[in-house]
Amino acid sequence: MRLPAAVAEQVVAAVAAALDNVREHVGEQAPAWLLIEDLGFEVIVTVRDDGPGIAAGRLERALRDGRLGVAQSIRGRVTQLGGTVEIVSAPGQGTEVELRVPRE
Amino acid sequence: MSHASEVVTVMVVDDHPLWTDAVERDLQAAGFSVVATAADGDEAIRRALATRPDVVLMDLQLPTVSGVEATRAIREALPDTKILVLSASGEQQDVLDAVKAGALGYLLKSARAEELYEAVRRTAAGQASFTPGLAGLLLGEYRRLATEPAKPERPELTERELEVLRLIAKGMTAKQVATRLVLSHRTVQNHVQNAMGKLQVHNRAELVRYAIETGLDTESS
Repeated sequence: MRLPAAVAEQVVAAVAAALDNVREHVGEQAPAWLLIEDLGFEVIVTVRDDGPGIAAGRLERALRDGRLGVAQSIRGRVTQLGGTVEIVSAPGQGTEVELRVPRE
Repeated sequence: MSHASEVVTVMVVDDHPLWTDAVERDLQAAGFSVVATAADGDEAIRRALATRPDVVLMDLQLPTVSGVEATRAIREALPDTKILVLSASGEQQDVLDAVKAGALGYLLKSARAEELYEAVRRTAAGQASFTPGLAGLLLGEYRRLATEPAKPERPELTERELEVLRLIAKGMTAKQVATRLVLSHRTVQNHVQNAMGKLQVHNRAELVRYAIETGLDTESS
């Protein structure tokens, strides 16, 4: 999969931040999965951990209050690329950070 | 059924004898019956025909005939024999080709013994065994096919199959996927199996087309 260097750098930095977050909140040895999907018009990169997960209400509140520093930094990078970030989490389901970045 | 005792018969195919011996011993100890072993693809085909095992544990990097070709040949000759691929990591294209050739499951060689036994039991029962890596490979293959010029028989995933494959590729267990999508475990299994099955049908059709186009179908007779 080919992306312009400037875009690739931001995506890599966002993924690194998401992995740092896993390390910090789930553990140094915690497994993490990385799925990269090329849809032609956009690229989806998902970082998922199998940690305890976050209940829906708590996640939204933390985001609103600006308490999820990592999420903000990921969001900042991806928004600059014209993309979106979605965080999906539930108790027992782990946490997914899904980045969607448009091509071009 | 002829297997009144329900003992699952297995053939172990690998070109490393120490590995084959160890897997055979472990499987026997776990209550499986290892009816044959083979060290290359050609031997695998011949011994499978002679012993008709329920499950073939198939390595992919084999001398003479490749594991993918052996998988295809055994599936064609013995529709009741199921193939479980046991491979090293980094053999992505081979694993995908083996699934297209009819393998029902895939497990990494780094799997724990209990995971292997469970996968052999599942395979014998006709249920797919898959890893996040295999789900990712299937996703990539469907997307690659989608970029090719449209053919009427091009396989496509349903929305549900796509959703299930994506979640498994993200490392979720079938049980977690079932909870997330409010489906039964069995339904999740079926979605993955259908995604694999459609690629197998497509692959068979492509091979037939290739044979006809190149005149291979008329060569021997």
